[in-house]
Amino acid sequence: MKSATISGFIRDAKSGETLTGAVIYPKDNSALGIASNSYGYFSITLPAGNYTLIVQYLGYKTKSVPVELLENVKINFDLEEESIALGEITITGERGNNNIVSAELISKINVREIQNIPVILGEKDILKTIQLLPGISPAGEGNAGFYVRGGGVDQNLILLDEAPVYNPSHLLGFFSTFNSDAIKDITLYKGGFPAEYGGRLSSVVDIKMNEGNNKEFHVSGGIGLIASRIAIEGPLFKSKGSFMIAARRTYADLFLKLLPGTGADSTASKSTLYFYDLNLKANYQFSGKDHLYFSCYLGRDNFSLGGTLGLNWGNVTATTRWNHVISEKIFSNTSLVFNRYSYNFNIVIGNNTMNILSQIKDWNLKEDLHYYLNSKNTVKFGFNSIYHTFVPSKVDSTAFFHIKSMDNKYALENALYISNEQTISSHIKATYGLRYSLFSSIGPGTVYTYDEVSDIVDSATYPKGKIFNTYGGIEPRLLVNYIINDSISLKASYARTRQYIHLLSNTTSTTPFDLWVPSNINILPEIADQFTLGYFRNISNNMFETSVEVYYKLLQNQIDYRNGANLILNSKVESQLVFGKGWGYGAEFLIRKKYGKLTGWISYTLSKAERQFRDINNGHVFLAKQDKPHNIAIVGMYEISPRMTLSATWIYCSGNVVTFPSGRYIVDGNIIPYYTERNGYRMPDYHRLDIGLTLLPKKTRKVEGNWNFSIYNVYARANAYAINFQADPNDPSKMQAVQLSLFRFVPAISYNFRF
Amino acid sequence: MKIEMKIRSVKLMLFVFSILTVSFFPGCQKVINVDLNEAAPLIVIEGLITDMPGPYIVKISKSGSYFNQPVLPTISDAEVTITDDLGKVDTLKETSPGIYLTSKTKGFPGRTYTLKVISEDKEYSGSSTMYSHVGIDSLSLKKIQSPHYGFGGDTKVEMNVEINCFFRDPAEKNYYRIKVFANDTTGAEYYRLYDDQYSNGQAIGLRVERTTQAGNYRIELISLDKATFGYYRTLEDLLYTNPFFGSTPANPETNLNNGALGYFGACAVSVKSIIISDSLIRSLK
Repeated sequence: MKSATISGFIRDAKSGETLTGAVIYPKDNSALGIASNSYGYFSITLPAGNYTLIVQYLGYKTKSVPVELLENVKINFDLEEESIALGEITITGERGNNNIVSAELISKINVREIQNIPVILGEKDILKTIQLLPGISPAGEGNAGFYVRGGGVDQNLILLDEAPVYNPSHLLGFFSTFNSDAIKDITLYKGGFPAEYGGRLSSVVDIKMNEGNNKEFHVSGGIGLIASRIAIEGPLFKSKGSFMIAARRTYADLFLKLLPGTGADSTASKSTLYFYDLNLKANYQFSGKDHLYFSCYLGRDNFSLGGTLGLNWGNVTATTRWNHVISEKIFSNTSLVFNRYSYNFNIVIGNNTMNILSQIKDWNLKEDLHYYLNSKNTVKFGFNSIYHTFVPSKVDSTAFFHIKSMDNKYALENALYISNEQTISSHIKATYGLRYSLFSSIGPGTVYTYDEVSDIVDSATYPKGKIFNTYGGIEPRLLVNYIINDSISLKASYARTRQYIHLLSNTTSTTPFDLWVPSNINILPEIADQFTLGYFRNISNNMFETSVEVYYKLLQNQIDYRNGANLILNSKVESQLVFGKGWGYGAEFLIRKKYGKLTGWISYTLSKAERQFRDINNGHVFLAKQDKPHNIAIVGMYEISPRMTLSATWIYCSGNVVTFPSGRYIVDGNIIPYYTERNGYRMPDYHRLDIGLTLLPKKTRKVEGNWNFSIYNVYARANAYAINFQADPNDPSKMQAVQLSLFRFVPAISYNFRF
Repeated sequence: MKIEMKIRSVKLMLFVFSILTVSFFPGCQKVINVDLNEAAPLIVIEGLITDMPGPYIVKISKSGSYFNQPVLPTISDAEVTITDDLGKVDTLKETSPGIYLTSKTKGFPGRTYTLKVISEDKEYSGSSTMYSHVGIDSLSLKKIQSPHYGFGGDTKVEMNVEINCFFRDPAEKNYYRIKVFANDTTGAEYYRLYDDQYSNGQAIGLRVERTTQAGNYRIELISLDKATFGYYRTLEDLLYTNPFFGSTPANPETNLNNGALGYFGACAVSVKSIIISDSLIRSLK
């Protein structure tokens, strides 16, 4: 029986943007469905004959195309968006059940959902929206980091067009670096990681930028309380390509100048506090088979105090990518990526200045091949090679300051992978694969070994180009989907991951001083093994998606810090680390409604995360700082009318674990708190309600605009940010606990436009 | 002579930044009730011997409940001895509640001293070796401009008098604490701690105080052993935690065993005084 292959790209009809994860399948046989890859490419092989192909993607009108399949054929599908506010009730049969039948465990976030979810000060934020999904909890108010299934903030691989973003936060974490105007979609993995991803233990957040409308020019933007944005997109080379530029800047510091009592001379007016983001993407389609992309991101935070103290930090990423359709069954992607995170600290004392630079810089070459072998097998294989340069601190100072620069470190991180997504039977699909990763340090470099009291006992120096301290191993990946029927499936997975670079930070908030370090004989690579089992069920003809998933995660070589560890600008920082193991387990519940006037979800996670270190808590098991037994999020968006959408989110989670004193004593005239167990207490529970309203005024011929009103923390709960113990100012012999909260009832207004 | 700047200015900067952020974003502070699991009281031993003439003091008290114990009990009737590495034993006598004084002990650099306390049928001990005596070569005064950051107000640039202390660091690893007594008061103790990591064996000049107050300033340069330095450093971290950037708090590293709190240190002290005259202060304006 002869088979033939249909291949091509799935795109947005209006803008030409490729669509990732759009599903194409012959009518009434969704088990044979193929999803478009990250570049919009699909290839489906079927026996020759007549078919009605269904092409489906959330937010777009499902397309139904009759095809007479006799030999290999190339077809591109352009899908039309559904009406503006996700409102129209889609015809029952057209709603997707990809979450049931696919052999993958992903959470996808629709960028339009993000546009409606209210966030602090009106700035839409992808990373904050992710934290509303089960299994994901915020690291804390004022911390852009997040914990996935009890893992640390550095265990999340955050990719922007394939480039890792090392510090995805602005202003110490109140905002993320992702301008949602520039973002096309976000795919999140919490477990069951495909073999093509590696290097971090707990999650992969794969963010793709918009390519730009290749048919018409558009300008869009917004003016808000704290920041303004503008984005321009349009075709290039007579619609063979397109570009997109998006920029955003805050102007928090302008408020400093407006404060009463500040003259032109004051500290406030000479201080600055702002950040900006710039996203740029351009692409060009050479031929039917070749497509070249270039994307880059540049962002910076700048803080300076009265012209004498300054701190600035930010990320730069640049990706050059070549997609090549080798044949109708083989698709190749070659990418060359550069990314860098750096911070600068400078200080002026009298006539002297000092500048300290710290950065991590990567050059990354990767090749991914998708081989659509036959209707039952899709093979992916490739390699990924990263050259890391770590600059822990480079000091530039005029005379009188003798803080020395620390030596740079260099490392090579390589990986090879192969995987197959196989339809084993009409009820069983599996994705299985193997990743092999290898990490080595490269000279010049010196590695010290330390004793129990942080003194150097030995050192080994390596010349330029010499490879040393090599670590590596296999990372098996397995996911099995047992499809009970079109609405119900059971998915189980196992994944081993290895992490070779680590973020050292022992402070409660993210600071730019957090330091990335490579593995070596003092810091072994972290390893995680994760098992998951989930029950997925769609209800009312795929109107509702529901799931229950349990996971168990085992972590090795986890890092923590000696008591009183001093990490900042410490050349012997490795002597401050202690190592141990960890584990986490939990159950995640989710109900999600994706169609209709009312959309949204309810998620509940019940979990535990623990650690055991020989040098902490006398070797007894203690709760990890990521432990959050209860985590609830209720998100709703209701389209009151085509011109008015109301949204609300309510979150509730257990407070962070903390270490509180169990007594006090006096030494040297000071009252000193006495601590027994680590993380033995918990902060008060955290909950808040945010609401938002989007109004579309009558559309003028040229300009589409909308007004967005939001209130963060509507019932103004004073959620505890930190609890400090200090002497009672009225009676210094008494101690009191003082709770510090940050945001209560913060309204915001912004105007967004598009023409 | 080189003037050193401590990395602690980075911490100071972070502290200022956090104050700025707190005052910028509308936040609030309120006193709350926290239920603490009160630990059983522990013995607290604070012992310090120097190479200055004795007697030396060992204070023994008990820890108490965190919120509800304004007065911490002292321990009397403890058996307290200090032995040096030549085998000389000195039994201390209690002269006032919880305060025990030596009678025979004399501190010498290079000697190792062991403190032993027996109280309520438990024995606690700790040792400390006295490092080299490092003498202050000289003190000097300098008028300097010092910016005063008032948030929202004008930046005041003040003239201050800076006291600098000059000494020569010996070749081995050394740890120091500097105490400043203005007009003989012992005010709130900042832990001015310093080690010779970047300046071993060199002539060192440290800024030890900056003030606009006239008077007699007595500067003590205290040469500590590694354990006592570690104790003060971890104690300082504990006392001055930053609400935004604080790390997980932990008890200071002590050289005492058996669960005792506090420390025992033997250190060499060098003292010099300098006078800031009224006319110098007047000339600052």
